[in-house]
Amino acid sequence: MIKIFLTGDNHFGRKFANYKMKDIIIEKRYESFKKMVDKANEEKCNYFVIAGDLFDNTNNIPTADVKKVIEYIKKFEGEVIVLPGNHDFYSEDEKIWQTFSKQIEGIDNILLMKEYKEYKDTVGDEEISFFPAFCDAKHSSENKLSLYKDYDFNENRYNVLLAHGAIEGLSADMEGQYFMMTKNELNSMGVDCCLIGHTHIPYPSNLNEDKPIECDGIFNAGTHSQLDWHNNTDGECFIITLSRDENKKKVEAKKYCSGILRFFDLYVDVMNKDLNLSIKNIIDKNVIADKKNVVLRVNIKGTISTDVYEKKEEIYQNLLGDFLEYDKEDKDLVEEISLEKIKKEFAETSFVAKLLETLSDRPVEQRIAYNLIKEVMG
Amino acid sequence: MKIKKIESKQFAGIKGVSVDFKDKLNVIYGKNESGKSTIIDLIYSMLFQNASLDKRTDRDFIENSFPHSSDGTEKNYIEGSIIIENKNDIYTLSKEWASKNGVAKMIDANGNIIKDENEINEILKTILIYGEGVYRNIVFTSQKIPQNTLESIFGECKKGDSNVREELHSILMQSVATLGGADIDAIENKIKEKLKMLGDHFDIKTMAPEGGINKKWKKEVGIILKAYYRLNDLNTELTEVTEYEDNIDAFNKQKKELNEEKNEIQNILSGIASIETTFEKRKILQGNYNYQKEFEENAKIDLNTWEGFENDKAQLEKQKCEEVLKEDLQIVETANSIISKNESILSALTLSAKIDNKSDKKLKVSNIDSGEEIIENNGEYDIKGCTEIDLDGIINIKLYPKDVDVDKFKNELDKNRFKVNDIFKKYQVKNSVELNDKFDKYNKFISQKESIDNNYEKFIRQYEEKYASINGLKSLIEKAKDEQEKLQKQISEIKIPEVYEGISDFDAYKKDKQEKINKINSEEEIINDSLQVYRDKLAGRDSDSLKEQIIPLKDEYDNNVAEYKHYEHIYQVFNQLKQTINISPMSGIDNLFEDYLGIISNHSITTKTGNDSVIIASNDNKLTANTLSEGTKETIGLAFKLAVIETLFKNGGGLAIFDDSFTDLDEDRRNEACKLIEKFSQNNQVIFVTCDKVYLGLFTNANVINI
Repeated sequence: MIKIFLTGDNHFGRKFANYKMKDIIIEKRYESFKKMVDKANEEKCNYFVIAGDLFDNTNNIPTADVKKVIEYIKKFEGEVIVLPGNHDFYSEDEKIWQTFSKQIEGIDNILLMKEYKEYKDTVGDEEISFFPAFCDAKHSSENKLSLYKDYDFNENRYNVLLAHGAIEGLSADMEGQYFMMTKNELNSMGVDCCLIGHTHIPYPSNLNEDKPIECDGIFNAGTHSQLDWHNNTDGECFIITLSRDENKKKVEAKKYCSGILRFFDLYVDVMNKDLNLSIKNIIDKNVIADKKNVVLRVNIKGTISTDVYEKKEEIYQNLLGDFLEYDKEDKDLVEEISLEKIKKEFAETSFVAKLLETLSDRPVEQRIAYNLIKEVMG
Repeated sequence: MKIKKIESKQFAGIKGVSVDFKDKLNVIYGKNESGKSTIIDLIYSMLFQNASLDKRTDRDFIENSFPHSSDGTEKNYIEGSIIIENKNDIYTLSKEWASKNGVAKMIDANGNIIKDENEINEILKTILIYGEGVYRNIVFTSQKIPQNTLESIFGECKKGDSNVREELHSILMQSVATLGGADIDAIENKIKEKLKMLGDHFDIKTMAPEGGINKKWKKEVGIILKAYYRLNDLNTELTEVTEYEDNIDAFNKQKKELNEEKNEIQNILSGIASIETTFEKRKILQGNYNYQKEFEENAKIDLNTWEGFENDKAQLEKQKCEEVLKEDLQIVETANSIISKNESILSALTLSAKIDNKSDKKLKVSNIDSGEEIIENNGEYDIKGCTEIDLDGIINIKLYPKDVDVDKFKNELDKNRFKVNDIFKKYQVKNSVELNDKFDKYNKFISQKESIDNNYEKFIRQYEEKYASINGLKSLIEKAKDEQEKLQKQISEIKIPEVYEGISDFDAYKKDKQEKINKINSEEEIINDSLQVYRDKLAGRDSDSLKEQIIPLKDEYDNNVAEYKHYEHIYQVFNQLKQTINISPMSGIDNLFEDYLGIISNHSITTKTGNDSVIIASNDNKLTANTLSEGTKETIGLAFKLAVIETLFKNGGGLAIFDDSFTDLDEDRRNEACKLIEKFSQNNQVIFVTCDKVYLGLFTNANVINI
């Protein structure tokens, strides 16, 4: 039996420049990475496979980040396999891999797979071969599977294909520029399992955390820790077991949730002018993580009373203040300007009162006009 | 609506006040600081200030209306009550203002007690008809109407096709529209200003800078355009960075391909040393083989020739050919020429004969040359050639041309004919042609024989020298065949990888390959340089980070555009509304205004029709807001305000408050103003607050309240 721990799309070195809490975000993503190595050791995995995009780019990753990643993975008690992805592609002399290779000198359990060839290994009585179809460019309309298409795989060994790229139907690659491959293509390769990176959402999505289930052999664990608003994942990695059942090869897998950090992009349409309850409901329904680990973006629209409007920052702070970071977009949240308010502030015979009344079906514009009138009136 | 009574135990600076009002003109008289104005504040607050206070929104009210104690501590209790009459119904309203827990109570006409402030406000709304805005901005405000309203009153209005009345009404409606609100032009300017600030030099229809997408405006760049440029710059940078990345990808790919090619060549070169000896060996064998093959081919040709010669010679040996002597040929030729000549002489006579043989002897007429009998019977005949006529035993006549010796020629002819026939007989031919043929055949045979003999002599000697004998040659050919077979086998046993096949010159080949490597190396250098150039150009940037940066900028741009569109729509609504100001007319305002103008100016100020416009004129002189004295402005403003209030409260329920007014007016103006108020108070309630006793005399029918 051979056990493989699969992750990928870790994107270390990303700066998260648009976030206030970037340092904490980066740190929490490292923390999740450490959790994975610990789990892999606890599970006594033989291999720790990183299926591409360990780093965010090829030319601008601080050495400190590279060192930090290596510090974690070298603690894995088996063999670490690093596959270049499209973000950290390997063509020959990319800076990231120069730095990486220099930093792993003298560390014998980390292998950067940078040749298109069969990498053979033995685990106890079992023999295993890895076939890396890594990325050699940032973009490519063709995948790298063809390199092994007519390969004469030795049936007696476990044959594992490693690749990085979009999988049709799972990831968005409208322009077909991310080494696009299909499930059929992978299934017909003739290997025992395919370990893929690129898509941040895990596939298959039906794995359990405790009991392994038998699988079709295509695995894309996704990012170990959610990276942004776009990919709704709790951050997973897979533990894959290759074994023999009366000489028939069997592939089973379970998942492990390594993610700590979550990103949620929420849309609140204020109901019954109740800002507090409307936001609260949406959060309760969608946010399924510890607030301390959640980066939130709330887009709010609707109409609220003056009282509430004046207290909105307080409401935000109460509801959102405990989150790691929150960003609110409330330009379409407007203070209600009632007919009473108009009549109270302006002579109803006046032009401005009529203008505001006419705009009452467009609260945002009514508010703009109101502010403008106030500005004119001084 | 009429205010009947106002009371308060404590409100701002006043304590224990109770004032009864009459329906028409009320004058509150008192010294400075006696609390007159506070009474007006109290009336306003009774009508519009909720009893329960919000510390934040009602800060000004709290600040101004709660009394300050002498030790500086605030007292948190103020109250008041008011009695209002509306359509003969009496309402009593009392309020105790307090933070959060204020109390309001209304007793309506039926004696119902209402404590819910919202309900109270609803009832008040019905009584007051208009909202707080009208009261604050028109009823309770100073007669000094805003400058813009004043200007609007004096504004010219183009008559067009409508009549003076309509135009005056239109002017006044526009003035009303500015009263208690904001200056319409100022709002318009503000909207335009906002639109310009946002959209300056940006075409919202094409979503591009005015003048096209590449137009770079330096000045008056609106917020949207600024965001557009920023976004554009970033997008351009993104395109650039993506292009650099793609170039790097492409160069890396090229480099990889070159590397593969180089490796392949290097593999070939490193394999070449071991293959070279084998190749040389094969080359020698191949040379030998080729030699043997060539030998065989040449020997076969020699054998063929040799055998051909032998064969020809044997054939020739078998052939026999009769000799024809050349002198015989010449004899025949000479004889034939004599024969020919003599024959022509003997045949050169032409005669006609008429024969009549009268004897019984046989007449024989014959040709002398041929001896042929030519005539047997009597008759007429043409005769050709020398002819002999013989009548058996009687006569013999020979006919021949003169001077020709017939016998001699005949004799000569016969002799030569014999000679020729003799030779023909010798060679068994029938004529000269056959004889000539035979002669030619003989000659040909002789020359062929000579040629074969010559060649035979020449080549066979050589062949014999070279190959000894035909059999010797044949065995040599067999030997060469065997040799070739043997070499062929040896050659085929030598295995050379396909890639090295066809190499004829290893040094040249190696040189060529090395040159290719050098070429690849230099291409690689160029690629490396290019890679470095693009890496330098990237300068640490990457397309994904740029995409991240673009997101908030794009949001900002979209928000700006959305805001612009909001303003655009507001402006549209604004303009539509502006068109319809006169549509909701306040009928009668024009008459009232003219009445009031007449009163305050002793009919010297009137509305007049100019050439094509309506103006306000004083004794035919057009008046404008800027040329008026402050006093005139104030009185005209007062006339307008009263006309507006009276129009608003058509059924006479109007209310006008004057708090220490007319202080800037001279005596005449003041008197006019008071006349105006008296006139107004005929149908409306007026509360006139003053500290000046003089007004008590000016108003003829006032309810004076001393404070």
